[in-house]
Amino acid sequence: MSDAFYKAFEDKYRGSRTLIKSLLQVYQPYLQGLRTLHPNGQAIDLVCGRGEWLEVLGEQGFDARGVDADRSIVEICRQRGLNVHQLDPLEALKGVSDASQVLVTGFHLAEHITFDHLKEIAKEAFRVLKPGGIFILETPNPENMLVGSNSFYFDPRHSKPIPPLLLAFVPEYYGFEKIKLLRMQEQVKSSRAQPLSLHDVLSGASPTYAVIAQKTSPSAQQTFDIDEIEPLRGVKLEALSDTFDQQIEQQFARLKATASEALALAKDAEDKLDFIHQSLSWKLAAPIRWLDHQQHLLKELGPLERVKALVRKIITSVVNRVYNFVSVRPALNKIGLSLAQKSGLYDRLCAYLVKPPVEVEIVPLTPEIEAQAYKTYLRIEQMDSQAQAVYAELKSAIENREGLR
Amino acid sequence: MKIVVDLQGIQNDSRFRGIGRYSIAFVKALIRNRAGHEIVVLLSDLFPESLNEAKVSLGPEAEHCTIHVWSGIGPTAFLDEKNKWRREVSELLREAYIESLRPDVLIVSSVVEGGADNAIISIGKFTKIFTAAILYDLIPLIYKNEYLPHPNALAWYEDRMQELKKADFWFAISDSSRAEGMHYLGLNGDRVQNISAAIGEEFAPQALSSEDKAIIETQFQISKPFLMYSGAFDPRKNVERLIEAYQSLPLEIKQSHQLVLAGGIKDWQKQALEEKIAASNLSASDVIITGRVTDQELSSLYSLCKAYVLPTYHEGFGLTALEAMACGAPAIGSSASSVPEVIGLERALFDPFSVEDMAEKIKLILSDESYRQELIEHSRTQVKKFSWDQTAIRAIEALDTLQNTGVIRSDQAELIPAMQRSDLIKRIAEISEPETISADELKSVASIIAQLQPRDDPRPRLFVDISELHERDSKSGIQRVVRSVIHHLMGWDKSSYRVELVYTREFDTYRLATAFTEKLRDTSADISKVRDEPISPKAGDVFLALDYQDRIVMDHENFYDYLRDLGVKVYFVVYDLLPISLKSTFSPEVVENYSNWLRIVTKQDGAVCISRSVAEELQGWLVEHHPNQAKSFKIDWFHLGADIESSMPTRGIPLNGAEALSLISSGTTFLAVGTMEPRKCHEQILDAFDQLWTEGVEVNLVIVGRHGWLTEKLATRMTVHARYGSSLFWYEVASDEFLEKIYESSSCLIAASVAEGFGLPLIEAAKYGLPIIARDIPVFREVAQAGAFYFQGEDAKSLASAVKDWLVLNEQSLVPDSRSIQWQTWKKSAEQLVSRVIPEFLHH
Repeated sequence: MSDAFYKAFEDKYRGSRTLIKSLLQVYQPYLQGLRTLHPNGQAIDLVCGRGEWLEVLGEQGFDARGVDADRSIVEICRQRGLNVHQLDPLEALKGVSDASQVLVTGFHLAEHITFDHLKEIAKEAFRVLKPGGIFILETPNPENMLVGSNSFYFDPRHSKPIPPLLLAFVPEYYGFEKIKLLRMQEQVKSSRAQPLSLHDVLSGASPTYAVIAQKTSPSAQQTFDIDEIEPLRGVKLEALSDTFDQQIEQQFARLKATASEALALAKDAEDKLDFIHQSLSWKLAAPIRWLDHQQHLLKELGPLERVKALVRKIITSVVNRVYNFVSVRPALNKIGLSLAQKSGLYDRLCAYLVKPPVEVEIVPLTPEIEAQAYKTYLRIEQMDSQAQAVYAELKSAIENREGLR
Repeated sequence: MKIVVDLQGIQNDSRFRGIGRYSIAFVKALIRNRAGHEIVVLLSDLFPESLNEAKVSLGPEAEHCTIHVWSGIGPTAFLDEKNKWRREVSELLREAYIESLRPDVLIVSSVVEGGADNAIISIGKFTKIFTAAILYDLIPLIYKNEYLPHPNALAWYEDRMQELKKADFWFAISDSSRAEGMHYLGLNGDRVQNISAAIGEEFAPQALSSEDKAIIETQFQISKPFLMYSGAFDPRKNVERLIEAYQSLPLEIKQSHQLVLAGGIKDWQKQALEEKIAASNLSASDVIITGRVTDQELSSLYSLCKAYVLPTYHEGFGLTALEAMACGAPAIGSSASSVPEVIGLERALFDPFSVEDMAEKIKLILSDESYRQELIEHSRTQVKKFSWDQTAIRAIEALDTLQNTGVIRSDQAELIPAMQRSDLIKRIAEISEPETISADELKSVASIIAQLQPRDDPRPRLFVDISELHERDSKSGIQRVVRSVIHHLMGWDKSSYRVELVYTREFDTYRLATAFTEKLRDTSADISKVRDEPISPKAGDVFLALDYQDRIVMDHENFYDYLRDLGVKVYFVVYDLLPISLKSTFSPEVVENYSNWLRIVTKQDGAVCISRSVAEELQGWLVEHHPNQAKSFKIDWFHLGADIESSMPTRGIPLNGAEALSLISSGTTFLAVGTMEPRKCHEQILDAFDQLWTEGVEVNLVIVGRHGWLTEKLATRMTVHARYGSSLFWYEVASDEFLEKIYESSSCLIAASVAEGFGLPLIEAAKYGLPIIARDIPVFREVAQAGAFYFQGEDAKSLASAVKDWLVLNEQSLVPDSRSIQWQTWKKSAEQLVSRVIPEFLHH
């Protein structure tokens, strides 16, 4: 196997650095804006972790620096050639001079510190940023029910979840003029995706959000405005639950429609059955059906001579009754005979019309009639829209003609 | 010319009589002698029970004509008043159907039908197509009292005569019939052509052994030379006068001869005849009444008789005389109606109303040997004047002349379907109906009218049944075939057939898979508004059941019958016969469902199997279990494709995939691909490798295949195996993409299955040049030819030693090269499959 294959394979599945970097792509437009405003500006990342963000900033030409309180983390980052110091984030900020930075970031910082601590950091961030510079805070989103009630607490160092509007208010209070809220990383891509399960509702809202705050310059010469960047769609809990409700209502409406259709069909079938029961041939065949049923029973019960004798008696009486019934009704007589006759046409016609009936054979349902009935059934089943249209046309043509009469 | 022949005369009870025999022989001859003309046989679906029989009776000639089946609504018999509306509607539907065929000529095989059955014949009620009708005889009209004593029967017959008169041309079966038509119906002689009649090849002189002769003589109590009559016993047959004439013969002639009367006879006729014989002082041994005889017995009697006599005073065509003459008998007969032109010799004729004249001729033939020899000689030349081919040629020549003289015009105005449709609806609405027409009947009519409409895309349809795939992709081998084939079928826009994917569910009708197809073409298509319409099949379409779905097929058995009745060819793809050939490895339910499925499949037009081996197995099974169907059921085969990438492959590599692949490619790795089930012998493979590992042979084993049935123990054994994850790997689900990588990284494929329909892994391995160790079974030989190393034996040792042998050969680079295996792409495979059911699919 070729080395190229392994290279491609590794690239595709190389673990979480790539994944994290890809998640950071959402900030790309903001970085681009900053770059045009302040080329090669300084940036500071509070609690930088394994340094993926610092790598992104470095690749984009920022003079990026990271701080983290964890010594081992700092060492990993340094091995990767990143500029990282072992410092508390607030202390680090305090040591930065006024209006020197273009970007202050804190990924998964807010949920680890006290609220007072957070307020201090926001205040300092405002101080150290240049006009037009931005401050980003990213944190788990408690609007996602599963995150807020469960997975947030997977990390024992987390203190408490922060609702998006609260976090957004912090930089606003400390002087940032433009505030944006970004909901992100959702699995359910849209609240309109159907069908939505209850689990989707509970776990589908964006699991992470970020507050992006921008410090504007008093000179109003700013060429980079975060409000001009297309906001992320995100998925809100309300949207999911509304869709879920609608979905249930629609299903209910469809069920109602199906139920009423089924009722109509049942009614129709009932009518047809009534019609069959009232029809002459059905009545005529009743003794045969009864006999058929009796014979079935007999087969199950075994050859009991007495029962057989009884049945013979009954058959004789039924045949007699049928014969009597038929012989006083000439039309039926003809039908019975026509079913009985299989010989030549002329002979058959003679027998049909002039010969006295010799014997009456009742044939309840010939394969021919059965096949014909099935064909009719199929024909009706297979009606496509064209056939439906012809039916409507034919029906109205017949009705119109009757109307004229 | 396009000639449509209405053959209802072979569908109703007429098929048992002369009219049916004439009709079928005539149309077959017409097809044989069609020259440049196109013959279309038209049948009615109102005779469902004899429809198939009618098609079969066309024999090999069916290959050279098209068969169309029109639909009406029944019952329609004239003698039941209640049928009037249905009969008149059906008449219009039939004519509209004929018009939609756009023929130049319509030949009606028999107009006088439909009194007590569903035959529907009308002429010129809806279409003006030039119509020629066959004119047999007008006997009932001439002898009304005898044949039409009841007013209803008379009314029916007169109705038929009115219809017959509406034809544009008549083919009379004899000069005498022609004259009758002109005399009694006032037909224009220029428009009536005698095309004569003929007899079948079964009537020829029989070379009877003395033993055969003795059997016949004993059977019919024949002890002396005999005079013979054959036929029915209606009064016009004049058998009473024949008895009288025979009685009047000189005693010595009577004493040295017998009179044999052959043919079906009614009890009351027989009784009357026996009384007549007794009254004439003749005994039962003088005059023998045989009753119904077979064609074989009849020709034997013809061959044995001293002379044949036909005393009838009215025949449309004196058929029996011709039969007797064809068997070498001297024949004398009546000078009335058609008999003279059949016998063709004045000296052999007598006045049927004169007992003396009849007796004179009988005496002559029984006592004057030179007269008898003269007649025998005459028979030989006379019979040559009659043959079905000559009859057909006369008919075609007459039609040619009519066309050349402009009587038949082929320049009919272009049919406008919408106009035809509204006209038809208007005409149907005009028929006064009984108090109630049921909505079902009206819907049925609407559905038939809709079927008459030409399609927007005039190409015939190839319906491809994908019911299982439509519901779910189970990722089985069959589903791979279905996916691959439809992927390519969908791509052929320029084919002579339009491909339609269709599906159904239990209790549903077959529908076009429109939504599915759109999704296939564009995965982002919005299909929420798409409604899948029922399919509208027509004659000439082809239905190919590509997917295997036993329950659906059982549920729709009648539907396939309906398709075939319509003139749609129905074919199934057969993947294997394993559930019946390896019964024990399947659950009883699977076996039962499969057997039912196979029974239904073999009722259709044919099957295409996925290998020659399966085709031969199916052929063998059919010959053994359904020898009758084996004759007409077409069995063919195709091969599958190997290029996974064009079979709409699935994608994805498992997380630890790279690691596993590097292990696989670093050692000598054997690969087994296929669902874990007993017949694939995974247990034997694992046993063999355990043995190899114990012996210290360092090899890897990779098994790719879902956990199927009856292999729970084996699955457990694998997952707790000491080498699991190091030199033993099992991937239950491998995407096509990952499978390709495994093929690339392995050293050898093991195909240990004891039975397969095809053996797809073999050609997939061949594609990657991966060597193969395969069990020596016919289908693997067929697929892998000399490109595999074969082994036999079902124990661990035999496979283990085969692997060791292979390893030695491999060292010396002497293993069979799988690259020598001929494999084809899925595109070729799909082409091959379709060409089996529609040879001209891609070339037209």
